[in-house]
Amino acid sequence: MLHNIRVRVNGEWVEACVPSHRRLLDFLREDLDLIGAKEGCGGGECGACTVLVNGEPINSCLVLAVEADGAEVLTVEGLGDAKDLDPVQEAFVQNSALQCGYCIPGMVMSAKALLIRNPNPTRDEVVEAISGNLCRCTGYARIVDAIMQAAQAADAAGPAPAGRAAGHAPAAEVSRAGGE
Amino acid sequence: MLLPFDYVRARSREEAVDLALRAGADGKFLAGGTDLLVRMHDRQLRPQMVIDLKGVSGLQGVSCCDGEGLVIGAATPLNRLIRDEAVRSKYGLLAEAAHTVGSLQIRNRASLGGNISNASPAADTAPALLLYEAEIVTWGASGRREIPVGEFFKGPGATALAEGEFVSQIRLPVLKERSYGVYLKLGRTSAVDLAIASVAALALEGGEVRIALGAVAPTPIRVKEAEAILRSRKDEGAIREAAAAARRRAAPISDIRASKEYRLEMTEVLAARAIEQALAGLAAGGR
Ligand SMILES: Cc1cc2nc3c(=O)[nH]c(=O)nc-3n(C[C@H](O)[C@H](O)[C@H](O)COP(=O)(O)OP(=O)(O)OC[C@H]3O[C@@H](n4cnc5c(N)ncnc54)[C@H](O)[C@@H]3O)c2cc1C
Ligand code: FES
Ligand code: FES
Repeated sequence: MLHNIRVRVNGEWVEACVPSHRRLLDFLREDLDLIGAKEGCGGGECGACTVLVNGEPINSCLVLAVEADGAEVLTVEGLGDAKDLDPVQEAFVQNSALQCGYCIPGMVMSAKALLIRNPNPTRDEVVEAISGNLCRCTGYARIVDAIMQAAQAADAAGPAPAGRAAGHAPAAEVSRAGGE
Repeated sequence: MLLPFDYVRARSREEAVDLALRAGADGKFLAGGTDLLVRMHDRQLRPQMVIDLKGVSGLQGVSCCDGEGLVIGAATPLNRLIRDEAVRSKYGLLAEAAHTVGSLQIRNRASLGGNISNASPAADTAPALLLYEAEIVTWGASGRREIPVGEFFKGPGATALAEGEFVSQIRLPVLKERSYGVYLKLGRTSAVDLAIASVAALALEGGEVRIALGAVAPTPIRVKEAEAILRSRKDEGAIREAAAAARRRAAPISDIRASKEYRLEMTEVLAARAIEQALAGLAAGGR
């Protein structure tokens, strides 16, 4: 079954005809040649495929392209390029927060989503925000450093919408519920 | 890559039921897709027809209240629940439990209806729904039904849903008293893992303490035996007895996450902790 979809990708409306079983990840990589988002596990575990849909980070391996009809999608290509890096990307470079780079587009998009929602995160909030992104080589310390630095660059998040992410205390091994 | 199938975004409850009945065993409902698409990717499931419920009216969002309790659309993503003020202030146990599911990316898609329809014994929102005595509102060939959540789970992967029937809403009855809930989830890692064992405890101002277990029986279960012990006494000895009663009700299996023995042991430990913390939280003010 084929579907005509219209998706706003990195600020530009794209019209396409996709089969039902096309994942958003494949639509971006194969049809639009946006190969920043990677397929690590294909099952929601690694976060290498993270992109923002309507401003929220999601695993693009678990979303159908047809489900993104009408949505706004932001990929790492929409942040900046080699000549004009986004402050998040710049901070990753400055902190040497990458080795092979496979996980980095996903990490950067999770970081970007956090800073849009919460321009002044604590270190714990950063750890929480990237807990759905696995990196097998860099180690997370430098990545967290980079995101903290990006937060300090005042314009990192662009125009930040009002309201902070609520309820994102870092999960502990035995996480406890509770409140005031 | 996924194998080919047909996708339809249902526009009404009737259309969703109709499509599902026509597809029969070849059809699958889709909400957030964080479980369904994983199984399709792994070739455990090969539906020919995927029926998206997200556009069906009444399936999105949280509505409150007027002494009516809370109504949650089945397709509402967990992050919307977690950020909802009415949920946080009055049904905090559900918000906290939902927050332990997967990762931020998963919670932006994963729905409450999908979490219970999976009927995983480890579904993290199930113990909280048991303790709030939720009603599961469904739509099917014979119209609307309300199923008490305690009768919804039938076994691993099995629910009370009939063919073509889907969950449209989850209703949480009014909680007049102040309460304080605690959800303790033991996983192998601190994020993105299913529970080895989990315990929810809800202490109510009137003196009742409710207890439910996840991942240690064929379905999530409420443990009335443990609750009865705490009705009149809440001292250390009573808490120990209640935790032992929870362990006796547990009937876990051994799997890659943990052995049966470890699960039993941890059920008792977590139950005692959860009860203690719930009582302390209530004493400190509750919600
Ligand atoms: C990496 C990862 C980590 C996870 N971690 C956790 C965790 O910690 N705790 C946990 O509990 N779960 C976890 N899950 C499982 C899953 O994310 C949750 O159960 C989620 O809530 C499922 O909701 P969904 O909307 O994505 O369901 P879907 O995938 O859309 O559907 C799941 C099943 O329910 C059916 N269904 C969906 N909605 C309805 C409805 N309204 N009526 C009838 N049937 C319906 C579908 O046909 C399908 O069989 C994890 C999954 C992944 C991939
Ligand atoms: S490829 Fe999507 S989460 Fe791993
Ligand atoms: S830099 Fe290699 S996986 Fe993260």
